Amino acid sequence: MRKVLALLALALFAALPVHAAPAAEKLTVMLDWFPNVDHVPLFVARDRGFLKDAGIEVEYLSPSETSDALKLAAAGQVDLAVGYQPQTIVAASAGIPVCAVGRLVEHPLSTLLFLKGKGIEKPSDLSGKKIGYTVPGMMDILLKAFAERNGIANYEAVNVGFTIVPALAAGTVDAIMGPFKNYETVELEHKGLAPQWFELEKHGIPDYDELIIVAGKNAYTARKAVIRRFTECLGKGIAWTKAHPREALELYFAAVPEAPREMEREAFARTLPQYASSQRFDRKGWETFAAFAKQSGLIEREAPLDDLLQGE
Amino acid sequence: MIRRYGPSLFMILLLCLSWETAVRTLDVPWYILPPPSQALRTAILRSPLLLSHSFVTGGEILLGIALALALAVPLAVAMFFSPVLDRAFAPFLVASQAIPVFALAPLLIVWFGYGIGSKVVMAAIVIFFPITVNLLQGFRSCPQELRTLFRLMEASPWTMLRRLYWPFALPYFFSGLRVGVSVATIGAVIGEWVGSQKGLGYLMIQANARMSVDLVFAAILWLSVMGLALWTLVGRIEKRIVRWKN
Repeated sequence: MRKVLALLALALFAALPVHAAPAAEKLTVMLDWFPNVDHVPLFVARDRGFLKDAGIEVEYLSPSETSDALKLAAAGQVDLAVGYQPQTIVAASAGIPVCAVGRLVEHPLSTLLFLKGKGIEKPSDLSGKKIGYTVPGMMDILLKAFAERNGIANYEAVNVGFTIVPALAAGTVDAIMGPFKNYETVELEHKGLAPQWFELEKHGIPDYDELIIVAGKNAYTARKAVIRRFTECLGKGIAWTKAHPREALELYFAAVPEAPREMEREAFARTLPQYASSQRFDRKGWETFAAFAKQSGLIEREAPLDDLLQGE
Repeated sequence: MIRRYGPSLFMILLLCLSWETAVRTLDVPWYILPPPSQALRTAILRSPLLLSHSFVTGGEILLGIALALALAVPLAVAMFFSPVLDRAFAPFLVASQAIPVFALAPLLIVWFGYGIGSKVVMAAIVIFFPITVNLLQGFRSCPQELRTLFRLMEASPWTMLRRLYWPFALPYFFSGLRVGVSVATIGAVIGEWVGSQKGLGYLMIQANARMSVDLVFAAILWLSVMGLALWTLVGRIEKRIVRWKN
């Protein structure tokens, strides 16, 4: 009898939560890099409660290297990843099962960066100079394409890895392909240098989404509804960030107390106009960039865009 | 032959087999960890590419070893003969190992450029410590009686170094060198990661950006083989020179 009663009680308890609010669905999101102002709308979406209201509990993780997030999302170790459009196209072309589901920053942040006062007015002034690049396999190819389209001749390409600031400051190279226009520019200014840059999309390189949200294909199929809700919240986060930049930045500083405030404040001001205006992918733009990637040798096999683009 | 190389070959096979089975049964995706069969196939199929990059990394390592020797031997001798120098340099010696080479890399690149120089220095930094420390310990292992004997015979410090301390230190020196050459690859590769035009480290970064994970692992295989070859080579040289040990 006792046993039966206990079982009954248990069954009752088990039935109870059905009437309570549904448990939040958990999503783990791996960033492309340590948290920085590029990610402000993500933190806003979480800390303004947009995600909570949509029944999503989110956890942001940092990777040890920029391609980790994408690979781990494909492998199902994290639910979503913050990635770059060019990198995602390379991954899809290599057969890694990923799809693009949302947008964070809608134009290239990578630039061809140089210092003022070195007699560089137009791209062709870089002819015969030493030009660095940050990521071999990616930025060297963008540099080559940029040079071809802008009449830069007889230049010497040097891989500078992540030594962007020292390389420019010491004059080891005259320009570098790859630094972000919202970040390294601020860093250089803080070191007393005067950076200037050529924007890729204004110099013949097709426009692309610098930062996007990527999901593993299996995860997307299985959890389409919640992933959609997530990108909707991201859209709200971006809109709120644009409407209340000061509060948004404070929310971010509260979430990431170790952030270097003075620098990030300036970087944020430069990032603000770049956040995605909608979660809808520009299919034409992706096609153009994918064709460019194929033609310039960034990818060998065509990227399966139909599979890849899973936006709104 | 079998008795000599059998056990290590067996272990390598066993490792590859369990790696292969683990990857296959646990369904680890190729872009996280490729099966050894795939890495090996890439290592062989792309060997012309890998070889040309290996020459660069290998050259950096060999020059790094030369530079490390040129620094370590005089330093160890100086520290052995002069307690003042010993006390002065010992903290720096240890501190030089506590600094992650990764943090030093950008500085070395600004000083020595994006060419081979910065990588040679970086390799030398990791090699030179075990050599110096072992050599110093070797000198000190010389028994007191023999030192007294040499002194009674009015041997000059130079003779004592050549005929007494050096032979005693040689086995120590070689164990230090062995450790040094097997970690030398780390210094060179990190140097290449930070900024380079060629080398296995450069190839790894490039392959990673292109999502060619199998090529990354193929480069790792080549690096391991290089480390192993250097280790064996030092062992051979030691056998030739330190005949009295066996």
